[in-house]
Amino acid sequence: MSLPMSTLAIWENLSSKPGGKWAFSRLLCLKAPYFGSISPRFEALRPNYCEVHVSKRRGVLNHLGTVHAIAMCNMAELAGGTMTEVTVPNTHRWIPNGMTVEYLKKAGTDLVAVATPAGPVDLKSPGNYLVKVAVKDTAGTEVFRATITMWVSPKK
Amino acid sequence: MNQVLTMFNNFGPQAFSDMTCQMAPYFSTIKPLMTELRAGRAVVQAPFRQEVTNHLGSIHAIALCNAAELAAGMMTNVSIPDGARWIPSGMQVKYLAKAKSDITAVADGSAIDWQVAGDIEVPVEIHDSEGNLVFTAQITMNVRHS
Repeated sequence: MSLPMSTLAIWENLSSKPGGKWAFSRLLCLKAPYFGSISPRFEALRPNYCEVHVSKRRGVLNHLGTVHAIAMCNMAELAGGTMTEVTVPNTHRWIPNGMTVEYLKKAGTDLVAVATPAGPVDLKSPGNYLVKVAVKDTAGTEVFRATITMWVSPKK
Repeated sequence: MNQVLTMFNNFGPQAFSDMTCQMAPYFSTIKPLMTELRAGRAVVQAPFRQEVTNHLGSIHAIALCNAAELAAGMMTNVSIPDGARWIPSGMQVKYLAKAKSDITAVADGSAIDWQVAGDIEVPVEIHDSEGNLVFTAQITMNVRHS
């Protein structure tokens, strides 16, 4: 994302202020509108870690009345992408090129997605960087898991 | 005949798509139109709109996942034997190119043995309006015969 300030700097500025986490989440959805379809809320963001919350509401449901599998994919992409953004140095750029997901349980409550790296990022040559995302319900049960493949390469 | 297929044939693509979005609201975020549905094949179109874009101004990868899920799910529903049940258990997707136009998702089940129970891999391809392949998915459907 080409903002005058780094994404991490914006988060660090906003997150300690009242309504700041909400404002950060809204800003991100303005930049990339489809994330707005899940009304996400960032709770924590730092290098190698990102936590995104989504409330169970009618707009994110499937025909069974649980949270739609693709809404969880969207959480995973948001958490995984934003974690990558604040982890990869600004000498490099990144883009997701694929994802593998598993639907483990029906998601009947509000959800929390946590993204962490699957391994260290190799900055010497362009390559794939794997990101793990786990989505848990309010009981702490893992309902969904994803591995996102990010292509990381030096900026030209 | 399968109940879902009867509905599609009786109500037509637009009304059927509207009902689907009422039943499973998250599909409505991509304003899908199911243009074809029969055993072994489903086609879903989704328009390019600002609401489905990413920070690059192209269609968001997850909006493509949503179109793929709808096509694969509906095709599975109308292809499995009467009385069988299905649920998606996972998915592998590849983002091949930026999608900057309306898109068409095709779930092709012609090579699948629909009489088999257990995990079935459903392939979906998404093309842009110029015919470029922008996305592929393999969606794992767990089918149970009762």
